[in-house]
Amino acid sequence: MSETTRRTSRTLQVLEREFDTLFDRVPGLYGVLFCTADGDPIVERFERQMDRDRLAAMASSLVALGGTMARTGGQQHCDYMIVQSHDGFIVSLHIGRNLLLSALARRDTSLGMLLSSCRATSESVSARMSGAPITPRGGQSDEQDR
Amino acid sequence: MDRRRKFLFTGPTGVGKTTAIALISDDEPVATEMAASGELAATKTTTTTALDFGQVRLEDGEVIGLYGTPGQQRFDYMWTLLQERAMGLVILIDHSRPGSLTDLQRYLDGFGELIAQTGAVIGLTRADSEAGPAIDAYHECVAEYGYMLPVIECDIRRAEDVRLLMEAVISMAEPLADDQGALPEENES
Repeated sequence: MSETTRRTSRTLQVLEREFDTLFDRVPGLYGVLFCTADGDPIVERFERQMDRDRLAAMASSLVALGGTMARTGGQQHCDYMIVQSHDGFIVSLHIGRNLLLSALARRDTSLGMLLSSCRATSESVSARMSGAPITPRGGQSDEQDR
Repeated sequence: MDRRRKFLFTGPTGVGKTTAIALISDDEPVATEMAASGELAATKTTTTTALDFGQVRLEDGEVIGLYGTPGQQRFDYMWTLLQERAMGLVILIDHSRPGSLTDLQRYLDGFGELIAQTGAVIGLTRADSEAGPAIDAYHECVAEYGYMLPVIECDIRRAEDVRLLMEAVISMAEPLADDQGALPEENES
């Protein structure tokens, strides 16, 4: 196994380990997606069929726009982008500079629990990803999280 | 009453859309940059994933809104959103990039509805590169779609060249009718 392959496997292991924790912690959660900051999916767990490519790209657009809107409004940092629809919530947030986490949950989910759990996951991944490559689906990046 | 028209810049990642808008915008431009990944990270650190935005105020009071799209196909929903109410399009193509004609086809396809209504201007960057096809190939490509669009060689790092592209696309656009593109007046009651 090459060094790059080993490190890529490690990235996936770190991310996949978070699925169980998040699903256990947040009743009503039905999807979690990790993607690169520029919208390429890395790994996901969905309880129903969804277009992960589109969701990853849209998470990137929303988080980018959220950050820009916060700065334009005189605020420092966009912590979350929250889509609240008739049927539920979609939350997207940064993990470090190079990764995004999106979580999809039903309407009966506690938004506070969803946000705090996503934040905890982000911090956990950040802490464990030091030195691991950020590799999009089929990608070849060996870039390190910062 | 403000009179506003909206124009788009599109083209592949790294061709200079964000730079072009920032160069000629009268206001601080809005950018939505995210860290680049994969092969793209080898050539640039960040990339646009939502939109760029700038404004130019003309002497007659009209405000020109400049919107830049993300370049990558996976953001094509932004292409659809940004085309709404646009009155013209600049397609920037890097002549030195392998597959530059395929790039052009991608944006002719992606913005076909808008181009059919308003036309477009093709801005050819790095046109002195010997790596690209003959310039006529771009005209032929456009003609295959049934369009006649200007192909203008430009250095996108020069504001003068960006203004030239804008003048070309504005001259192709229909002038505003009185009830078009105007913000509603506030009720003073």
